[in-house]
Amino acid sequence: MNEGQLAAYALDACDHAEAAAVAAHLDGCPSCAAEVAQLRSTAGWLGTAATRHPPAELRDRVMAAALARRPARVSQLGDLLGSWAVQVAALDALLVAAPPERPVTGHGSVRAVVDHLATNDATVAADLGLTLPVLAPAADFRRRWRDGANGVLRAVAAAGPQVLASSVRLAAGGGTGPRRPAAEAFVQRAFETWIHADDVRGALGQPLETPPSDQLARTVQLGLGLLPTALDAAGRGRPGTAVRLVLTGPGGGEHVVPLSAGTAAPGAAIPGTAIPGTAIPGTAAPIIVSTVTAPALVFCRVMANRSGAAPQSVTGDQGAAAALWEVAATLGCE
Amino acid sequence: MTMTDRTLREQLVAGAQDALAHAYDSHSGMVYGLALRITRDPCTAEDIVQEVFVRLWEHPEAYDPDRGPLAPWLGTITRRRAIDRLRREAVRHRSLVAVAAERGQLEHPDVAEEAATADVARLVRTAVRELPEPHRLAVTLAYYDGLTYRQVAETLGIPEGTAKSRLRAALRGMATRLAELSITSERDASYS
Repeated sequence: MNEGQLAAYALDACDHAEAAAVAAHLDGCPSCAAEVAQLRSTAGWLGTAATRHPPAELRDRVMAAALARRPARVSQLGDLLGSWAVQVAALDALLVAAPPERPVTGHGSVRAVVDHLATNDATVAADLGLTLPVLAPAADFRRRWRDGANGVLRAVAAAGPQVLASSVRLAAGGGTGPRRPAAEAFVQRAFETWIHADDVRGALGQPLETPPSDQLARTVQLGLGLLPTALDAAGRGRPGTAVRLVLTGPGGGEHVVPLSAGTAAPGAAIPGTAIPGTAIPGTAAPIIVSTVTAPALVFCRVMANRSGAAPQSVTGDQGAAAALWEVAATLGCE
Repeated sequence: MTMTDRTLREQLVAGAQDALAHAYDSHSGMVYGLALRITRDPCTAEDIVQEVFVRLWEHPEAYDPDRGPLAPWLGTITRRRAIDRLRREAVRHRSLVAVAAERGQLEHPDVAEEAATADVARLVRTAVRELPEPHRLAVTLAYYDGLTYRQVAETLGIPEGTAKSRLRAALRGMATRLAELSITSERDASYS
């Protein structure tokens, strides 16, 4: 096509009929399409050339007008949704160049991983009673997943804090797991999206990524909340005892993990109040029988059954430590 | 940690007010300056800034990061809105050539403003200013006044084919000059 015509098109300087004709031509002509993209990019600089400082007071006016049209999410939800949004963007960027049929360990293919994520996102949406736009099954799998996740993010941000009170099914073990507070479901969405993004990175030969430390810390809390029940379910629960879990690095911290749901919830036993190996009469605080030390990142990967790594160190009751570590690997975010 | 346009989009979808503030702080200068340049009316330019960012906040899904960085996308929306206003108001008493000539002077805003705007904007202004006059006139009439190439031809009294080739020559000339100034056409999509 005539180069001048392409330049006029790139500048939006054709009339409607002509523009339609050029657009139709570009659909079937990659070299002209590339030329137009280049010209448009250059034309975009004419916008930059015009840069001027707007009046300072305009910023407040614009922010107020925007928030009047669509409220910002409340801060309580902010971190939870923010972590998930970061992981959605990271996976979305990865998928731009990822071959859909590239094999992914444990999930068949890149496409299958993404479809799986979309299914689990949809479960959360359904449990929250969100009505999302119905996406055509034939739609591009990446768009279908991203639009679904975006739908939940947007709807939850709009719904506000009462969402946190509702309970939803967590994804677990290839199906759906226990009903938990919605806040935990958002932590899990971020966790699962990160882990599957890492699956895709592995399939593409790219290095794995470490999420922000606040996300890791919340992921650890999610796992610790599920562990006592999971230990009981696996027949490895030990009522009245606990493991001190010392997590290092980003997202790290010290936790007392009851080895059965029959004892106090995590956090009820404050480290230092229970003397290892001794019961404290008259309290429900479990006895701490061993101390397990590991990087928080490793513990999170173990929770996703993506790491065969052993703890850095174990002191005290080796059996209790092994039960915690092995059952953590069955929590399953997938 | 840097925030890519893709992450910014997701954060906007998730209703993060600070993401909107980030977008405003990064791009309001371009949006305002472009709207002002096209409409020549500060009040209208402010209204357009508000419309563009309110729309970004309400419908961040409309921005597709696969198609390129956020800045030129916002620029396209700004330009269309500004040109719509221009056409709607249809207050164009002066001849377009006179306006375009005046534009040549507008290439030099007051010194304080020039010093305060971003280095990149200044470099690009230089690249535009260095274009041969006929090319610069054609491309500024099309871009900042929203004229079709036919209207450019009519306004300048030149054949339509010449108008088109001048538009192309202007963009090519800019691209060459920007490359010499180490400004690549692929903008950095991330900012810290």
